[in-house]
Amino acid sequence: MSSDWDDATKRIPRWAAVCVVVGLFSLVVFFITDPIGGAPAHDDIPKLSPDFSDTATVRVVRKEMTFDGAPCKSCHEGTEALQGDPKEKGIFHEKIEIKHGRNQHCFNCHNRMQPADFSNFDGSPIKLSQVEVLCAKCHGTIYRDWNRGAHGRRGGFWEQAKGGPKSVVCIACHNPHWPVFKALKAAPAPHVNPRTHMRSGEGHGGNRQAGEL
Amino acid sequence: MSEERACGESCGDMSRRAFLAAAATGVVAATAAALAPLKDITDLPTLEEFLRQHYKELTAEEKKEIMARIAAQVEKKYGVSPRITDLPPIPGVEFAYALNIGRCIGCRKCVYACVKENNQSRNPEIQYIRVLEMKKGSIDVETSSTAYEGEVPKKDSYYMPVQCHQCRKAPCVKACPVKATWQEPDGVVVIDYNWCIGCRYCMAACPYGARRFNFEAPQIPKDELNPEMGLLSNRPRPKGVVEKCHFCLHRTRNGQYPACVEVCPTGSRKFGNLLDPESEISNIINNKRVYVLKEEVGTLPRFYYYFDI
Repeated sequence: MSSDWDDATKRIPRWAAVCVVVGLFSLVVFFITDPIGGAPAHDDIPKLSPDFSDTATVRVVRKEMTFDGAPCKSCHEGTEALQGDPKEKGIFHEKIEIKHGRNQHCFNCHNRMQPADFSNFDGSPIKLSQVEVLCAKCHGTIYRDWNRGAHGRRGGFWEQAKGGPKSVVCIACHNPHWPVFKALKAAPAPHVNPRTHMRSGEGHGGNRQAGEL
Repeated sequence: MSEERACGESCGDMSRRAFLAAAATGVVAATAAALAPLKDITDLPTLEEFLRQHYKELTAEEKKEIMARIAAQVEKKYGVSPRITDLPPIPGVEFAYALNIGRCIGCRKCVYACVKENNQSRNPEIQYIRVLEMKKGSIDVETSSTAYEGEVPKKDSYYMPVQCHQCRKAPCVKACPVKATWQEPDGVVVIDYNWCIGCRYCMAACPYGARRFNFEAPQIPKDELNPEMGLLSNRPRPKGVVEKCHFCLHRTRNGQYPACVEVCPTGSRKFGNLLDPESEISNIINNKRVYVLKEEVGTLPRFYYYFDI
């Protein structure tokens, strides 16, 4: 009797045994293939455009006054004062577009006798290397701010001991004939993570949007 | 019991021993398969990292060891040999920042110069600076937008970039339960990336939305890694820690301007020593119309917005 009983309890119905074992091995397959888990695959890491970290000014500051490569002296001898409207006289200057507010007259800035230089109030020349003095003739408050560092770009070092800041000159950013700062193309807008932003303006998480500020 | 006995050998029953052997094999295999993804974890801290002290308790030698270890990790991962520094605050210097709200055109160059300088993750994208496009005549940030594209400035809009304001009474510092973020003597609020537990209380506390969390390990292209690194600033961060603007600590404690100041094409961004009466920042605060964002929350920021006149 006892041996029979022992024998019976040591036996498992085959269907149950197969279910359990097949179930366990299907779990193995499930875990290895991982059909529902896993983060979405990463795309290639996007590169930044080098333009975005380019510290160059928006304009190139010329070293000497030329027109299409020709120095002013090649046409203007500087023996007599220039007169009249240059757009009517030469083939060069008609391309110049003046949108400098009410300052529509060439000789408000350019020197009549020495066209490679600029003109101060009394007609004395201002060199290209000191062009900020020319701009200061009208834009005194901006010139004051520029000297203090409140207007315009600065490079170099904030610390005087390391060499101090270096201001860039007016014409590195402003075209003197059309001085308003030109529009630029904006760098790409921030990417909104769909996992932290279910609907626009209604998300929360690492990359807050303006509305949550 | 009796039914099983009745069925007996004819049903093809399995012995308990055989069943247990097959079931145990299945359990072991299933557990192994379930734990297999653990082998992909590569960013577990080393023992030295795990037992590391808080930044403020480190000796100079320990800092040197830590920087050498980070340099080795960076070289292994990126193939670039970084120069990691830990510059101390300069005595008699308190940094402050000013932004000319009337000159900013919203071109976002500062955003990307900052990303490059500070080795921020490209994917998922982390950016310290948010440029808000605001309606002219309004200072309501609720109606602002960060999603504008194309030519800027847009008509009837002005632009207000927002980044960490390095507050004198910083709510994030108060909120941190483990003191992983604190204010340095030069005014910059820094984070010990190894001490941060990633609870993000500081992010909830910050009224400016200036802090970013590394939900995933940062991804940076190998050839765009900036090798000039600071221990408290732009060295690569691990997953699960908070980061934010630190006024380019590794540059500014060396006398340089932050990357965003250097890149700004309009010269709207100004930076300097508040304690130096001759600095541009002192001049702006003394002579310009200055305001701070969310003055009413009492954070006393070191980041000022100003406009001409």
